[in-house]
Amino acid sequence: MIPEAAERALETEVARPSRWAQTLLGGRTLRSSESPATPDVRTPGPRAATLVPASDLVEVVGRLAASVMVDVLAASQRAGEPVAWVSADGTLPHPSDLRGAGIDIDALAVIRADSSRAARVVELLLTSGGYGAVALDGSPALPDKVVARLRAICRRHRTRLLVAPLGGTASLGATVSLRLRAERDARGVSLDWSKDKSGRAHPLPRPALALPPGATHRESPSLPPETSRVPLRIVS
Amino acid sequence: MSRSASSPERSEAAVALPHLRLQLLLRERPEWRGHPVAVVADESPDAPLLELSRPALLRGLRPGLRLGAARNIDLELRTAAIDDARMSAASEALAEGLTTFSPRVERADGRPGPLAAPGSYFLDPRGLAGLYGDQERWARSVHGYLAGRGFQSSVVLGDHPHRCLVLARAGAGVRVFEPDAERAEAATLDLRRVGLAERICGPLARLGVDTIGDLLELRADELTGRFGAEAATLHRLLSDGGQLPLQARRPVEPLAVQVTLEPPSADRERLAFVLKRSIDDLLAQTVARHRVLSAMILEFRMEPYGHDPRGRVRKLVDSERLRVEILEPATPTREGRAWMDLWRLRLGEIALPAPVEALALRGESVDPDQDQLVTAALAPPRDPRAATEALARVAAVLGRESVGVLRPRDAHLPEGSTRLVPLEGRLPLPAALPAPPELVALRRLARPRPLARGGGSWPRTPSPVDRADGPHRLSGGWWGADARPVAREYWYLHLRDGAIWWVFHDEVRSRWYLHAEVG
Repeated sequence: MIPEAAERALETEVARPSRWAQTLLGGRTLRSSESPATPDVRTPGPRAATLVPASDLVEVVGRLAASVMVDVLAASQRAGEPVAWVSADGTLPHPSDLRGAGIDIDALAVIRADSSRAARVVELLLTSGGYGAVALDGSPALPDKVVARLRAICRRHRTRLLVAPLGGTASLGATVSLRLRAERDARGVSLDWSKDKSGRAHPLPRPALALPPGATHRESPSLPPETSRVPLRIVS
Repeated sequence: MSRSASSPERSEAAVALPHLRLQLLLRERPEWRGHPVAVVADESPDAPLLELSRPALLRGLRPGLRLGAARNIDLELRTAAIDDARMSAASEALAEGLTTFSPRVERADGRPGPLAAPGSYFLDPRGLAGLYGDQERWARSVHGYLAGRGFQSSVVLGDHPHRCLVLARAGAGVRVFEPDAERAEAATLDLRRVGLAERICGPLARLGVDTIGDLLELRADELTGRFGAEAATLHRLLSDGGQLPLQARRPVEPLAVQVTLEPPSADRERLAFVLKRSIDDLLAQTVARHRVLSAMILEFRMEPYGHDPRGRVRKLVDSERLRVEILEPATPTREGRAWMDLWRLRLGEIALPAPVEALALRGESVDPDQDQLVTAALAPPRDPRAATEALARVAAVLGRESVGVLRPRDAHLPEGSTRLVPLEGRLPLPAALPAPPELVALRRLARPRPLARGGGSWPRTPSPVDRADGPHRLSGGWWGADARPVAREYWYLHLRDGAIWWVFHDEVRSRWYLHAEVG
């Protein structure tokens, strides 16, 4: 799949150690407790945590869905609330990445569930009322009835439920009213509401009804959150 | 030295297991027998050697030497840590085992004074000669019991508990002493041989006090001022009279309820109903002891014949007939409703291959822990107890191993550097860590997945590679008898569709693997 030009570029990378090899490890052998740092991904503008409402179910899609969910969990922890991470696809985040994202890993409940029981596990967590935010990573497609029930529980207990579907593409269907897309592009990370039927006023501009094909909304990177309700800047 | 048949029976018995830490280690690692082995407090270079095997002593190593220095002397030294919790658990298990031979057993390390050390026990041997023939046979049975479990021990019968103890520590095998012989034999023992600390032995030895007999000739009232309270206590313990009677462990009746189902049933509702009554009985026993339940163990005994998935009758093997389930609540509790809630969740998840004919419910209890009252103004925004209780319910559905907190650990491969450990106690309230200035990308680790080879020497990817960051080299695994060398080159591949893959090239297998996706 790698084209010839890219192949040559990669061979050049091998011959000349890249920035990562030079700055992080210098090409030396890893020690047992070390782990290479993740690539630097910067997000301009407001953080995901400021966008997600306090008591609703939000579907997070896109390449950086898990990172965005961790950002929201870290914000809940800073507010003194217990949080939980449910993995439905067998993957687990690395503790060093979580710490780097501002998570207190000693206070992060982690559950490894199979996909058939993930929704039940999430429901058990939400109904306790003990969590400020719950993230469900690698979620299977959930029936509308289940989504509606989880949303109702979120509202009753003022809990954020973030659901990242398996494969990163939207799968929760019509019942979900909020869908946040987190993608990586040349400038860093773009966050936009690909769906918002909540009727609330929120920091990100809503998508206009008539968008040119392929267009997405992105907030201005230079504006703080409270001033981000500016006319849309459309990036095509 | 052995008593005659007509002499009265001895009133005291002491059992000593010398170098118990080392014995425990060698039981775990039998392949280390015959090699220089040391038990250390931890594996850091500054950690002192605690106990040493004979080959290690013959090579010049001594207790107290730092691990780093010891490795300079002997590169073949094998070391491992046995922490205090494991020692305490092993000591308690041994004491429990010794109650097979006498109902009155006391751990000597529970007594204050310089003779307290793990692996030493006082037993009451009186009244048991009728069962074993005579007391010496009884002592041999104790010795044989420990030897059968891989422990070296010494058993001494006499009439003075602490003299029996020092004689047991200084000797091996089984010995029975008359009172005079016991006193005379103990008096000849070197103070250092009975396990006394150097801070006691050193000052005494400088004045020519080397043996227990020398010590007992000194005046007790002068010892405190000149050699400290420990020396005086030792004098008192080994003198005649004033000995504390044996403080036997109280036998603990297990918390247990057994129910036979007639007729046998696989109906969950009926099982839940029977279980509820059993839980109530168990909780009543617990309350009567002023304790709270920290865990319940439920055994299902099933009929010998069950049905396979196609509905055909089949005979169950013995291991299938018994199913054991263990539940732990968020915090130890006496609330029947909380227990029943967990059991209902668990019953909904388990598959029973045949009707259940008997249930056995056991409980593990702890002392109740009083919660401190928190004023409303200081209360956290969420109830951490509710959060932990929810985790206990999830564990009832998925099993304990699926719920916990992530812990990093030193490992030579990234897949071994993360583990999910069960939660101990309550989920703590989060500490407010500083927010990173920017979003931090997260790796989602899974089991390494083989990738097909693409063009050239690179793996096949679903989208073209725009950039590759690396390599981060990782090698190891060449040590040990079953050496499995590892040589990997890790790369971050930035794909054109926005994905970032963390891949490695396994140079031993000459193959690419996807280890994580940055998401």
